[in-house]
Amino acid sequence: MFMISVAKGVTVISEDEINHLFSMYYVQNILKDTGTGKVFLLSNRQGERKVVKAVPKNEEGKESLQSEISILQTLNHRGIPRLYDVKETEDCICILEQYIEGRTLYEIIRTEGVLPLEQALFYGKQLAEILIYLQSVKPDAVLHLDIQPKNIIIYKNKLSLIDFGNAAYMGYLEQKYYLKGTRGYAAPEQYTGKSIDIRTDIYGMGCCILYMLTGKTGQEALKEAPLSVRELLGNCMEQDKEKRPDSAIRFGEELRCIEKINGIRNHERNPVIVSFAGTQQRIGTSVIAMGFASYLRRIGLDASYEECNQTGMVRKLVKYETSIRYSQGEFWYGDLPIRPRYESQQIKLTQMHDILIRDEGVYEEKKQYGQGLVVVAGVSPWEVEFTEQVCKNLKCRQILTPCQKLVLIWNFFRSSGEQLYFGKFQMDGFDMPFLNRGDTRREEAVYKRIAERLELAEGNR
Amino acid sequence: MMEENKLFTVGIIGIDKGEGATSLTVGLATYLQEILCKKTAMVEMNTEGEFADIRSVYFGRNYTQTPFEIFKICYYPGVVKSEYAKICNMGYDCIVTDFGYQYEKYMEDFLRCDKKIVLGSINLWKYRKYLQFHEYTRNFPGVGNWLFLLSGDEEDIRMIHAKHNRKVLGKEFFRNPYHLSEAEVQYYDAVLK
Repeated sequence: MFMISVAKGVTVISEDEINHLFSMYYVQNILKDTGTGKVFLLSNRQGERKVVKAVPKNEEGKESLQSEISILQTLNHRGIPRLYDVKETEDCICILEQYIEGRTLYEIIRTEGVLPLEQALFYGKQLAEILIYLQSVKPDAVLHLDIQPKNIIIYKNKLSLIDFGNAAYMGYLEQKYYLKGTRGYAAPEQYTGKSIDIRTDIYGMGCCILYMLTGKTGQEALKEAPLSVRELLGNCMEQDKEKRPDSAIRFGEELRCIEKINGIRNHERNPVIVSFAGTQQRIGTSVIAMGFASYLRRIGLDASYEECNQTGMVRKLVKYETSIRYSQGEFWYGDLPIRPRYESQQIKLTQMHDILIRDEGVYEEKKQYGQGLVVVAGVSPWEVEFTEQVCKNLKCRQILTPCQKLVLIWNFFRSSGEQLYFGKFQMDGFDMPFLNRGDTRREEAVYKRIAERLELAEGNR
Repeated sequence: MMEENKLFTVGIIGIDKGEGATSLTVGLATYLQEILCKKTAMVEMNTEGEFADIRSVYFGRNYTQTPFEIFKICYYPGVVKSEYAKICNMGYDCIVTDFGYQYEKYMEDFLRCDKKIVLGSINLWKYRKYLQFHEYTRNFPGVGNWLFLLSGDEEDIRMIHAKHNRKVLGKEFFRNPYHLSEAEVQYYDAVLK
């Protein structure tokens, strides 16, 4: 039996205990052993991997882990690990988190050398995007306070920020001691005890981008940075935080300007387009489309939502939902990038995401749809007529466009089962149950089936 | 009590004729309406009659309705001072006003706008006009917060920024103000920052 005993009786935890605590998983490997804490890599029978952080219940480790737990519980962003479960033993607190595959920025620079400007700006924008999200958390913005190359993981061109052990809410700063940042990346105010705010993280972000470009940090390294970013990074690394960019949004905009000045093309992608259409109006297509896009982001895919119908839902959301924020041509509804329908056809913005969920409104026979088509069908007696018509048309469409992946959703199915509708409409579909608020498990199960049918791979980071 | 949405007003004034005030007005209004999802109106408070030209080209010569709408943006051609207050109370989120180039005549209304944008040039043959404007406005309160969009090389623009302590951006010329791509959106992001 593998047993860990830490000096002074701090903690005793074994693989068996971890296996027992998280019975659906087994320990595959130990990723990190700091002497006082451990990080285990777990796997289940389906090969799904997660990590467990085990930290002793002494004051120092406990405070850090509890802070991480309370903050990660509220966060939901594809560039931040998700928290799944928390368990305690006599000696330890163990948290089960999403496993983020990849290498740290530190490892990449050490082994492969510095990044070219184009790539550093590309990752810089992703880091800024994560900070924009953290700064938008309500009611209090989240500060990471330890942004450094060992806490940045890159995998398949996607950047994630990990280790929220030093993170804090803006409103609770006075209760914590912050001299825990990493030397070379922590802002001066973290040493002097002066007030800390979002510009403290901007300092760390500037240092990390400088590290990408030079493999070094500090004012001396600035001289080695390309001229075009020197001023911006210098501003981020100002000793006086008043002189730094005042928000991550501003910083991201500056990075885009630098890209433009240097003739660097935006990282335009050729997205997978999934169209959502309903058999009639007010059938729940928009809610399901937006929910599905959010689900894809939760499982690590870069999805966005685009309104392609006349309802003006996004405009109403933007007007009345105060948490929605604008950044660089799109709105962010929590972690989900959304775009409204544009009246003018002369508006052509670059598509920046891997998967585009297009909400097409009511199904139209002659309309062109994406590589995937999800049709939301009503099954109540007063809705069946529309559903029958659309199903007839979909059969023809399947013959004409056999490559298009089609998913049919029987919306607000009550009790009869998928088989009944298969018999009735001669079409294979999924049930979308009427969901009560907070019934996320059943909702996720439906979205998972849709994603599988559309062959959208899970967790590709 | 229902909270009333605050109206955001943008005023655009040219230092000289042909600086592109109408073009910027159309571009910014399109950006506000389409990209930022704000209910937007465009007001022409000058005597150039360009909005009427837009109307006759878009709808035909016989169409005379005022105001008129293109892509859900409401156009108010040839507005006089007494009508402006009424437009401000019509429930728009944003109003972009084209004051043309007669800045002395419209300065009072321009000063009432939340965002004040001055279009000009600092090329050799236009510099005198710029200096005249500078002299006229130099003691206006808050002039340091106005945004000057100037055409000229970067060095000159930096010089103006340093010498006159003005917020300055380079003036961009977009061929079609109704067309918005990444470049235009980034520019308008910067203008309204």
